Amino acid sequence: MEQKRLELALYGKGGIGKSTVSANLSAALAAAGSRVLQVGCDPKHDSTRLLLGGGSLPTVLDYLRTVSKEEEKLEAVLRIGWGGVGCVEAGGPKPGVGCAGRGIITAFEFLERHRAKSDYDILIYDVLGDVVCGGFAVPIRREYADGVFLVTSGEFMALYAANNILRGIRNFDGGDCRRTAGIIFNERNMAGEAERVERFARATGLPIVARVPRSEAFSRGEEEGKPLLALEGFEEEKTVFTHLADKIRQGLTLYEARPLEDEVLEDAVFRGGSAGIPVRIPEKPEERAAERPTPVPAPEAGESRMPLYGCAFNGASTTAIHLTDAVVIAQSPRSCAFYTWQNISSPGRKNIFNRGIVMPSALSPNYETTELGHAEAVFGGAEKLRARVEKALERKPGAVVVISSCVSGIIGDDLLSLERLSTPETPVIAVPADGVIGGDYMEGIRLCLHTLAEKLVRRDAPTQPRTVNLIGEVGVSYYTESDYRTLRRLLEGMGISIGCRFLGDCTAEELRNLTAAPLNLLATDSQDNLELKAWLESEYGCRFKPGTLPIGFRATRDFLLELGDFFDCREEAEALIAREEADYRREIEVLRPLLRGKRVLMTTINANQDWLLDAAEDCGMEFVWIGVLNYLRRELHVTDRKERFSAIEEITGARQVEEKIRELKPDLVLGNFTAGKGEGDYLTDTLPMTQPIGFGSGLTVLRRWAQLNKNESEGEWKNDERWFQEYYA
Amino acid sequence: MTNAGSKSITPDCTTGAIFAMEGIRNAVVLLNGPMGCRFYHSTTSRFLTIRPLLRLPQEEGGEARPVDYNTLNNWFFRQERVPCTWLDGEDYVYGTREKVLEALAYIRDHVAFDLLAIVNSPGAALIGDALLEPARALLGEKVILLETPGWSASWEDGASAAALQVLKGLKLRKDREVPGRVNLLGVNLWQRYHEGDVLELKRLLALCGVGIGAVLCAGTSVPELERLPEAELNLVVCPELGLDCAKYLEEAWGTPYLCPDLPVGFSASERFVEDVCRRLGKDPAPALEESRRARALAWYKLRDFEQSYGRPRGVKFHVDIGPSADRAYTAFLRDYLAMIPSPAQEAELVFSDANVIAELMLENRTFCGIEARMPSMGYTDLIPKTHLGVNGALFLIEQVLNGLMSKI
Repeated sequence: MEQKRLELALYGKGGIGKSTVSANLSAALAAAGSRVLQVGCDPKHDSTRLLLGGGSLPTVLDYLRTVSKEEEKLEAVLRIGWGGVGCVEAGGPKPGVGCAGRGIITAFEFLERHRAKSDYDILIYDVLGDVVCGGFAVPIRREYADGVFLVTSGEFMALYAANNILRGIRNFDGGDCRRTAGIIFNERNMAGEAERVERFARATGLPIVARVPRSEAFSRGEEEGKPLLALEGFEEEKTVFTHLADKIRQGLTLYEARPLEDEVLEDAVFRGGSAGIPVRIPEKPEERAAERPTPVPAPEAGESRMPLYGCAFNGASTTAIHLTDAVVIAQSPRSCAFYTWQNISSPGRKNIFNRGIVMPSALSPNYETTELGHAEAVFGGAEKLRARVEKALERKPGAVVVISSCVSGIIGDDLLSLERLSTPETPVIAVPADGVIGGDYMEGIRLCLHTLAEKLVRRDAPTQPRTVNLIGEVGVSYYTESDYRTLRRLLEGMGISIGCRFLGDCTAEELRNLTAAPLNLLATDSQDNLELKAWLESEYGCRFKPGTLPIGFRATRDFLLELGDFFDCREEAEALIAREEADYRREIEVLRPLLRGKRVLMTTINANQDWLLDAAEDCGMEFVWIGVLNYLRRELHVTDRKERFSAIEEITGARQVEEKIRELKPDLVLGNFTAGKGEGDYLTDTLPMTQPIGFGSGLTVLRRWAQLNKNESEGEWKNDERWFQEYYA
Repeated sequence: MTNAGSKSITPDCTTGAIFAMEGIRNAVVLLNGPMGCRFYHSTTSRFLTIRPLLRLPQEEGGEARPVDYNTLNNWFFRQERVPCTWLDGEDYVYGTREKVLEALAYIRDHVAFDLLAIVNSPGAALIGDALLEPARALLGEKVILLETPGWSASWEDGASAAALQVLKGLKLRKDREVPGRVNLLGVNLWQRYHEGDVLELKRLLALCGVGIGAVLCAGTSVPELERLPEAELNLVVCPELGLDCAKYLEEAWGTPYLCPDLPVGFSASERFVEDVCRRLGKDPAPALEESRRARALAWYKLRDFEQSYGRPRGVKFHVDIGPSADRAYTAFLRDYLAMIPSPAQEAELVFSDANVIAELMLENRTFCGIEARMPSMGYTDLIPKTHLGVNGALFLIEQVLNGLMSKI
């Protein structure tokens, strides 16, 4: 069993002298016989300089960028310094890029992986004291630091940082754990400094375990690249560290972290008021606080934030790939791009497998990822992205669209600057979705649509007669492609073409000419689509046909007639409708004998269901009750012809539906999800959430009901759950 | 790694880690991440592995009843698998700890489980919250944490890291050594027929008197995993996934391991069985006899096919499955069937996943795609199929012969 070593973290504000203190403490511990490893956890990587004769060593993070995991070697980053002290520098990114905190985590994982600590008794972590994120707090974690020293001067900001560190420890430990080892007072020779530090010590209940005088000894050490113990003279200064080393070796007294409220800090410590603050002395100092379990405070009740469904990155990505001649680059780890790829390709695979429909944009989307890795997570991913964009531009696509993920957003990659790489042929368009930071899936779609329109659409495109745009198709749906084909077939029958699908599959040039079409067709009336419509109307003067793409016979007939009137081709519309109606009637006649007289009870969301009600009525079916789930508390609207149905009610509870079933004895119960079969002799079926557009929408469902009527068996398989419970439990 | 001959984007270490944890019976995998990272895993894991229905925490003296997952709204969003903490931008700034603890408390109170595995999403891994201690304070030893699954590393890296974390996080014990028992390490859940693969390996080894103890992260329960050190030998099926675990177990518990070639095809399967039996002092004869019978059947069908169509000799094929699988499939198809490895664009038979196959279909070439890795086109298998072992060799030959009909 490996013996527990002592791990100490020295935290202090940047520039306070903690590296000097750390190195001299390590040297003193080593001189007293301890085997010491000092780990510098500051991106500027100069913690161990004094121990290495003024030299520097390769940082863990720089090293990890150059080798594969299989090739890693501890020796490449571990040097033996003065007195046999092991020296490691975590390193970090340049200021302003990447994630330094993540760098520390990565370095610690490397040290764990290679068991770097196993040869040492004492570890000294020299850490930047402004605990800015979880990464910088890693050394405070109890699996690492047994004790934490606060290195501070009497300056306001240094004490402020020291107090923040106490907050960090408190966050980890709660109120029942002692891991603070005391204050190392590094003097600056400022007026009133000692009193301030002493007041801080009293207020927080911590001892000043060492008082490091301001002395030319330290500048001499810096010049020579040596710790104090290696210099001639300066005995008093040396004693500070040898005493501290002795204290540590003999067993540290540890204290609870009791950070001060800001007002107390300012009043009692900085201004010297409230002299009555009592000094708190720990009752039972413990040396091994980490061995005591600390109860976790009960989680507080969740805030009122709503869960975000999906993420803006995914929404933007699944939208952007419909710009068919663009290259869409995900600035993301491969995982994020993979989910998007699956999201896009899943209907593609199913369509090809089940229906034999080939959807190129769903099977081979124009989508790539920069595959952000460990190195980019720490050092930033802008360079990798730039290289990828430059490579994409060589292919001269219609556009290069760049979309950022959570990781990219957190490390702060600058996407917008890449737009400067645009060429006359190819615009580079940044969509800063930042994963979920930019919002949910729908937010991503919105962001992408607005960004693409703003960057591409010409406001003055010459008008193209008998052309419509199709606006707001559902990006990922089994019906999107078949609906488009249905619409195109119908419109072609009237000599009307589709100019741009915003944003179904279209080219950058087609999107540029969005304003050329005299009329726009809105695919659905979802709230997002209505907002998009309003935006296109106000921003680009787009004109929309009222309503949405038609579902069902009557809606499709009216839709085509209105289009015929608008484009002055009503005769073509009427001829087309006559052909389609003949097909529709033929099929109704086949279904009618099977369905006539059947009584239907339907529960539905609050949306127009005329496509179904019409077809069922044509087959002679009777709707005995329609219950509406009205989540949004809007006026009930499931049909334009309310006079047909007297029994339309809002659903107030499951019991109400059960009672209606008992009372009305329907033959068929429809719902948006299949409920368990209740009392009574009736069939159940699920009402699809989305329906195909066109004349035949209702027929698809009626065919299924006809089948159900032929076969009332639920299937014996439903009896076999007991076997699953027996054999798979 | 993105496939060399394809644009298709394949899963990385995050998915590998989640599915590996999901491979433990009665484990709950909590994804500490946004909902966008969750959907795929919640949906797909139901297809990858069959697991017992979730049950309510058992009341004293009462029966553990199944959970109606329609009621699991918080964190589960009405899906059984892979609940998540639905992180948003605010959590990246202020930390995820509070949400994680809330989720853990909810799961503890609503679902019975043997192990709870927390896996950080790429964003959560970046901000570095300390979660293990507070999680353990709430749930005790039943919780493990994969803090850094990695970013863009391979599926195998993620699955391997997760499996290793499971071994380190569980309280393994060894009351005795069971002679003739082996554990399977490194079963790859991303292989198209992994459940059948395990059954076939168990069947072949059982013929020789070798028993299987635990199958790490592929259907074994926590109590079985805890007794993993009692096996006489650890058998590494796929080294990318299992070798690190085997080394760990050797070092920590002194269990030796064997890392044979992936048993694809008759010869490799026979070598596999012989190697294991030699190591355990068992007689491989029954399994070898089984292989000879299968070879006889294959010979008859292949002779018939060759006489009619002059194939499969000389047929070009392409394999894109994963490093060790590529080698094993290629060796069998090349050496046994005398087919010729070639780039995907020239191949008449392509062994890969449905994304790669579908993409090649866009080129309007006549070829047959044979799924050997996920995702699939959507075919639902009820009868367990396999590409490993003796039955795997027969099934592969069957697919090859039927696939070649596309050009005849």
